Amino acid sequence: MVKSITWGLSPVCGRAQSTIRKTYCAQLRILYVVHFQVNKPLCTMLTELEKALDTIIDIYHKYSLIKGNPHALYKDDLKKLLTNECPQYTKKRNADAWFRQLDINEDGAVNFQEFLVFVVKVALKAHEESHKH
Amino acid sequence: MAANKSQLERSLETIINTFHKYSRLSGHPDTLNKNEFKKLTETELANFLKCENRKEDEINDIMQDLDTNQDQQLSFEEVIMLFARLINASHEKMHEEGHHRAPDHSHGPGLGEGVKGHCH
Repeated sequence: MVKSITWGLSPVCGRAQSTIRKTYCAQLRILYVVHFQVNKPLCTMLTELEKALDTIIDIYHKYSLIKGNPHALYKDDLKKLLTNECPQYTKKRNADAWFRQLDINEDGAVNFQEFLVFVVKVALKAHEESHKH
Repeated sequence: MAANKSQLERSLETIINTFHKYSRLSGHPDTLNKNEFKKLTETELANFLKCENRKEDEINDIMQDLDTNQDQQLSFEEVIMLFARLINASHEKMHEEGHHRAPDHSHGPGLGEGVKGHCH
């Protein structure tokens, strides 16, 4: 639409062209602003607890997406997760022992549900610790 | 100390602090009674448990289901099972509508994030 007006008009209408372009740009900006504002409240609506729960998913994928199946933590991925995310709760047991315990279906990888078992275990320890201080 | 906490440690801290914020309101300081549980779900899980919030019956159902030792109180051990289920439900939601699990892994919005994309 804008294109046909551009080619069909004499130089006298150059100003009209630029007005159209400006209007077009302004509309784009409004669209962008509307889009942004519609998005923003939806994202920030989550409570701190809900964000913390969703973060657990991000933590899993930080290590599960390193290689192979996107929903599989292999032994070395789990080792990285243990070392980086919770060294103090996993000191007593090494990564091999954790892996054997968490890989419930013994398919050689920790899937998302098996990872949640680990999160529950670590959360219980962390809760226990919170009462010692 | 606080500065070098891992992402997992910070998340667990938020979960534990939120639990204590309500558990200490009345009665036993480390368990949730029905009122405390209701307040926690209404305030802190307003988006994740949106539909359920409207009906008191459903909140009671969830509480009965979680209360495995049937003492009408929820300990942290009992409540963490709800949180684990919600994490799982949110992850399931993120893989709806063409957001594949494999091989091209991607996430859409999780629980309570509306229809507009994944943003955390």
